[in-house]
Amino acid sequence: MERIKTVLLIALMFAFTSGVLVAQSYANPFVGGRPSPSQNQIPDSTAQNQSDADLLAAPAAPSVSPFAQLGQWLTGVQFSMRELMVDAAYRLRDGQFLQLFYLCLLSFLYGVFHALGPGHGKTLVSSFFLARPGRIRQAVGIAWSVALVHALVAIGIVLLFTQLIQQVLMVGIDQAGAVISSAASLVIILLGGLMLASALVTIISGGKKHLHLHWHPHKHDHHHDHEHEHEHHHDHDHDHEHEHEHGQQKPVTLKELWLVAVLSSIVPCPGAATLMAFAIAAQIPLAGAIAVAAMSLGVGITTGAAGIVAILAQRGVTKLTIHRMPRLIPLIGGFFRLTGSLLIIVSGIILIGAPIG
Amino acid sequence: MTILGLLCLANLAAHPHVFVTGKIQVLSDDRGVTGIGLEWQFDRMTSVGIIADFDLDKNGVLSARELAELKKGAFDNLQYYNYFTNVSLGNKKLTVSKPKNFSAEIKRDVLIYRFTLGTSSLVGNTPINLLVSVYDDSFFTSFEMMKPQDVSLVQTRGSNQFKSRVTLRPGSSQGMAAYQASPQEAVVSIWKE
Repeated sequence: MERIKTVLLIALMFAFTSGVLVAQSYANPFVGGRPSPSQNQIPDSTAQNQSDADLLAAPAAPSVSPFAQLGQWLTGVQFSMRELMVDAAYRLRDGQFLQLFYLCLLSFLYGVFHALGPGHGKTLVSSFFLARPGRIRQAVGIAWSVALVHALVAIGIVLLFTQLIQQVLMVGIDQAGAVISSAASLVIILLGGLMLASALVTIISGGKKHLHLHWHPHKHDHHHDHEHEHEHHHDHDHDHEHEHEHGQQKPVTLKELWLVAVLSSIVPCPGAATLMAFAIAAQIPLAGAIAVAAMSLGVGITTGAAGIVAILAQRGVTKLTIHRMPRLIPLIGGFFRLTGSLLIIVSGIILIGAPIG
Repeated sequence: MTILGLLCLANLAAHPHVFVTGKIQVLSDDRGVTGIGLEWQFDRMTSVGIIADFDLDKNGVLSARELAELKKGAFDNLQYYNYFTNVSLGNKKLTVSKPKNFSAEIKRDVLIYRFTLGTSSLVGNTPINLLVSVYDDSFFTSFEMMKPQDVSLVQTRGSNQFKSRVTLRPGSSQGMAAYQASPQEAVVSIWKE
């Protein structure tokens, strides 16, 4: 039973982390995006000389995978939810104040469904906890932080463009999104690079000492590790509280958690922005902001869940191996650290390479 | 197998930001097909947002000037996406011209785009099969499923020489949408009686 649970958790974890492989542009095609090479390119028929028969033919319809059917269903659910949200918002505007609760409930669910799709930091969060095994409550903290940042960014950016700059909102969000995601991608690559370097140093220098979970590194390694930590925060208010934590299971710091949460949610979400812009246009900006907060909580929970899955999956693996093959544990730990760091780097590179124009 | 399944599950988009309900018209003159007329009706939340951006005098009607800005700001870029529209004649992909007759209308909080993509194909006594699909592979936009009555053949005034039959079915997509949703394809069979 334990084994099945662990296998499922690992599968789910890799499902989250692999979201990076299909990471997509945040760009709005209506205002400024460019398609990636694979998009919207239907191949010409393979036949060089097309006969009349080819022109008259009706090619067989491709089969639809159950996943595509499920995706279609989820899309339909979101569409219906948005329509219900609009209705609730209008009733609220017309004085039915209790509709605010209904609007928030819908917005929350919309956020959960919405964040299930690629993006929204699930890859970053699950890769991070893959590389740096943490505690469940840290992932829960990430969920709350993501919700907070996600809401503030969406509300802030809509207010900025509609109230201060008076620029066309759709275009403004698209451009701001491009700038922010480029900046975020650089930080993500840096973070992944430092985590990778730290993982490598630990693994190489540790050698056979890895057999023990609580090994004490040489002074040099220790120093090295600290240096990385220091660089990666860009922090001038050094705190050395973790200087004396050793070994592979170096605890995740609060600053690291904040960095990951912010990086996962700093790119303005067009879905939340649309909700906010709609509320402003419908003249219920305050209710809109509350609804965006509810939606962001849904997004945060989905994102935090990706972290929890990564944490539980690793615990499951440790539990399964600790008695039977204790020698494998440092190896597996090293593998997770390397994979997690590499995935973070790749997700950063893909974000920077996304055709956001 | 489990892993493969879960991989697909996680990649299910459920992540569109704009929802569009579409209609397709196959346009013809007395010789054959001349173009594809498209109507896109945006979901209300998106509509209200775009309208707030472009209906600057807030009178619920897009003036010629507002329409020009809207076209520039929230339509012209779709040229890089082939206007999300793919047209084939049997197995052969047809090229389409730049959009003509772009118009946008506000109808009770709903924004509607209408435009025509030119293409040409002669129609004889043997039925031809015109395949039209509209989808955004980046899945920023989700095109909702059409009903058979949303697809029609429109012949020039007075001419009624072509017969048609419409079938809707799942279409193919190479990109991400394949993981997330199945785009819909309209097969319009047209023949001269």
